[in-house]
Amino acid sequence: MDRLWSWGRPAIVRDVLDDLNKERDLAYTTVMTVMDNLHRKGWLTRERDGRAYRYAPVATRQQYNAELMREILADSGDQAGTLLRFVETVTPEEADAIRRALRSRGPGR
Amino acid sequence: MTTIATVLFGYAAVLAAASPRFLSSQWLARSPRLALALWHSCAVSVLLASILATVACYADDGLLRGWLTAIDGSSGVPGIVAAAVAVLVPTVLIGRVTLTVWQVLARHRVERDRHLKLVCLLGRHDHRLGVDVIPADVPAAYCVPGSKQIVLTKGAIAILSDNELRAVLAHERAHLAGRHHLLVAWADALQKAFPRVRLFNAMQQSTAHLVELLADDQTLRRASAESLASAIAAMGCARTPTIALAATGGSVLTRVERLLAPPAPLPVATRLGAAGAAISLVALPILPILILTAGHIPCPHFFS
Repeated sequence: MDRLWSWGRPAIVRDVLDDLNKERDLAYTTVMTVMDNLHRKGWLTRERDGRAYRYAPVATRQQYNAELMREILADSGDQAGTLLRFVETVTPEEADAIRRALRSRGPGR
Repeated sequence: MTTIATVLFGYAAVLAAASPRFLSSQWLARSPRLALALWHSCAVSVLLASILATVACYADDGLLRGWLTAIDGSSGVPGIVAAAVAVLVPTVLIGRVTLTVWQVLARHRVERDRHLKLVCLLGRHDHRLGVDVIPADVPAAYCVPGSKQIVLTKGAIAILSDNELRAVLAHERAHLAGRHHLLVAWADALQKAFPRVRLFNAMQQSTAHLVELLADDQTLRRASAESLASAIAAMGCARTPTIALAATGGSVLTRVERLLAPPAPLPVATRLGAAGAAISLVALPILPILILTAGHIPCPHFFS
């Protein structure tokens, strides 16, 4: 996905494999399987181009980032339980009260 | 017996209406584990009582015979209607609970899978901490139940000291080890199944808060109260200006205050009493049914 995002254009399995193999040694079928899986699960689209498929990401990195952030920060009750968050959002008044409480105990680190 | 049915219905109604007030009292939060046990046994008790009440309506000797005659058609239309209600009401109750629990769990699984995929695509694994780190400035930390993964944002790592970080990780590991998400999901499902019942509404909110307190308590075995409190404060306060605010009812402040000035643990007698109450709450609705059936079904030993 990283390669496809940074290229910003559709690519065939061979392109991705050649690029990946600059750093490590992967088999053609491995990359093909991964890309096929990503396509089946709806992360990549593909178009037939001669004997091969040309793959492109469904959404940009920014779009996925935005989705991820929405999920992380959603404090609504509907999201509760999917993820267990360390701390929920606090109101400014509450934040003040928390800082006061900490200060009254002195530097606690 | 109809008396037993009335008693059971009344018991369920009173418990569902009155228990949230008692269960929300401050002293109970001194032991989150007990508070959770009491909340959930109250809920189970109300469910059991309502189901058994409808069963009791028809388990009465005369009515049971009426029900049997309804099946062979000899008591006419009213008998068939009564018999249908006797079967339908408990089935609908149990079915509704089962369905929503299943829906909630399925939705959570789908959302978590998608979320993990996103984390995998956009983040990287930090082997030293054993967590996934996503490149975002907003400080956030959470665990993804089911996958045992803990996720931190870069922003969180930036603002936390080593000790605070250790406290955050211990807190999230406590959630995962205690399978707190199952309690939260169950409370969530009950609230969705019966949104008008006060007990279930209150229980959903309390469960979410109490599992945090429980995880805080368990964190104290591995990290100091001070570092956990300052981590909570740092993470909570850092996020304030950036996001639309949803009131949390002061739950974060409660957690910090509780860590800085821990309440005395509950006396042993109180704890035993509360544990006993939790068990009796579940057992209570079953009792009249046991008496009823013991009175009506002849014990095989009489014949031997």
